[in-house]
Amino acid sequence: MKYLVPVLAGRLVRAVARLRGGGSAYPGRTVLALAPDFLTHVSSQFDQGVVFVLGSNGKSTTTMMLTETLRAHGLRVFTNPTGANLPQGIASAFLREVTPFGRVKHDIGVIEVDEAFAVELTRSLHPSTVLMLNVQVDQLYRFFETERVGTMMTDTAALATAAVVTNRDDQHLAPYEARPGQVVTRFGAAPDVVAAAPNGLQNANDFTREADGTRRAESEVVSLTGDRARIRVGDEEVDVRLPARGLHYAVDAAAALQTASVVLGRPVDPASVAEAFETMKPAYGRGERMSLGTDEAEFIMFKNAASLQLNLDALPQDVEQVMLAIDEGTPDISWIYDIDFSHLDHVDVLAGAKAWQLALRLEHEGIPVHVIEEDIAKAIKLMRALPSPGDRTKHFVTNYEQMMLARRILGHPDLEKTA
Amino acid sequence: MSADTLRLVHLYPEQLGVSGDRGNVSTLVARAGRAGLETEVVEYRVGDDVPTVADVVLLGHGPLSGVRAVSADAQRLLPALEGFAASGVPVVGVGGGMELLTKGVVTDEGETVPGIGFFDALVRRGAPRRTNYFQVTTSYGGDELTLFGFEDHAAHLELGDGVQAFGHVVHGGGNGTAGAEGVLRGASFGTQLKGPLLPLNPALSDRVLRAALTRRSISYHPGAAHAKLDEYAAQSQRVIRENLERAFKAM
Ligand SMILES: [Zn+2]
Repeated sequence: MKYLVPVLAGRLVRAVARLRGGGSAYPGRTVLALAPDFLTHVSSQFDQGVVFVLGSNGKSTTTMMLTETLRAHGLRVFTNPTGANLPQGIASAFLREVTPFGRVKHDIGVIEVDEAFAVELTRSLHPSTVLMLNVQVDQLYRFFETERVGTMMTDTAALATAAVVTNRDDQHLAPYEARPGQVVTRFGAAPDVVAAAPNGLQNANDFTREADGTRRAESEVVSLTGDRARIRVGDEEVDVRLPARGLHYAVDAAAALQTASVVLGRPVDPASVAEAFETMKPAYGRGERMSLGTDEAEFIMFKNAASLQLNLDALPQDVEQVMLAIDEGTPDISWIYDIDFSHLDHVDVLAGAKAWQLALRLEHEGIPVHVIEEDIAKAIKLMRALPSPGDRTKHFVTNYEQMMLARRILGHPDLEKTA
Repeated sequence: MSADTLRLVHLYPEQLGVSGDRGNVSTLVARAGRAGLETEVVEYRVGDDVPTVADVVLLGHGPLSGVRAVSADAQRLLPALEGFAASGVPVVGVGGGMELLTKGVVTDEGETVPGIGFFDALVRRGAPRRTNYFQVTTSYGGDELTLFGFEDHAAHLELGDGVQAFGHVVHGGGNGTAGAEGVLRGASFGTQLKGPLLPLNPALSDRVLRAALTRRSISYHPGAAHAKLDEYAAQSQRVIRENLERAFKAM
């Protein structure tokens, strides 16, 4: 009975927030205020434990891949929606699934967690497995020191009760060593696959360490063509269709499959994996397509240098029509001077308040910009008015805030829950 | 390499290069190039031969781990940088690069990461973290000039007796005392202005170029080929000016 009032109160808050079109953190905040141990109560019911997914980039995509892979192997998986990775957001997500008495029917929780809150969340969610994806120079203004981000992740991993899965190719994360009772395994990408990517993996340098090429990855991307990847998991090879093009998605898939094998206690089944990936929809703004007149708009979202570089590198060769959009949602964009834009031979439209800074950057590179239009609505009209391209696709590369505006303009409501 | 080539030395591009600092180099290359001058960029890394010639020396921003990683090696560079400064070569350090050029960085824990002492100044970490747009005026190389960029640090900069600041804070934190920002030494300066500094502020770039080139009697005249660079920079500055009060959440 202890949880009846908090759960009902949280749901009431949610119903009210929905009516007012408000944010989804409030229900979670309400339930946590009334029942501070709510997260522990729910998560302790998962027989197969809780998996944390941590990383500078790729948390949402990997969480989806891992969730769908486990479901394809018959598990009932609880997960939090993309971006709801702070304590209140996770509580809100639980609130949707529990009975009024605070019971859940799931076997396992796969939970995307913000690095800055990860250690704190171990105290309530007690993860059995922690997956660490990467440390990339992420929103510098937010964390100041990349090694601080790395330390947040490894400190969290140290609290996993059973297993840690880490990135063999990341200087900060690869050296992680098992604490008592833990098993550590690694994922990665084969050197020739990385070498074929124009700008590599984009993981941050660790200036305190020398690279160590001797570590083995239990799961590894062995080939990549467009959105098709082959991943070696243990001794088996698994073919998957990625939700969008790009080396980073292939590495995310290797991370998900390695973690799934660890959780299942046996190698994943290739046929089940292939099926799970085949039907996977791209996460919000990661190669998501929507119609734009007789053509399609493809949305690719970036949040920092690494994700912009990886996404640019994954655009088709000689991309015909492309808009870049960035606004005040991304505060310090100094890093655009470290981006290799040479994949683009022009940009059709630059949008958002920071369009001028991008124009300045591209002008240094001699890449022509056809139109600069700060207003995203007008910019989309300009893109729409362009003649139909050969690939029938108008590419939109945007930061999160511009994507949200663009989605709304194109008639796609806000599905993502941010907390 | 022709006799008129502008020689840029970029120190520690990896460790001191997390804020798009290559952009400061790119801008000097682009502006000199559009004025018809050839450029040569030498990237200096730990263990390389100490550069003997330079018209401009540039250091970008890095985290404390980056400054620490190059601190020992950088001690070897001091005589060369002193020589450059004596002959009027601008040495430009931004963020961590400026910190390396001071006497050192005193951390929260009281440890000192040694700088090389090119600037008579000391960095004290542990100041409240700032992340904001930054507006500064400077009289570096001429009349007062307004500069725009981004400020992101958690340090105070203490200048030695009689040492001049690079500029005056209009909006932002700066050194933490008396509205001062950065440090000036002849044609050389250090600042926390990122964004990066030089692409966003073409007039300052031109002053750096003039300082570098007049000592070699090479004339530099920006012209029509610079129009787009200047227009885009002006528009970028306008957007920053309109957003000066915007607050960013940092950790
Ligand atoms: Zn085009």
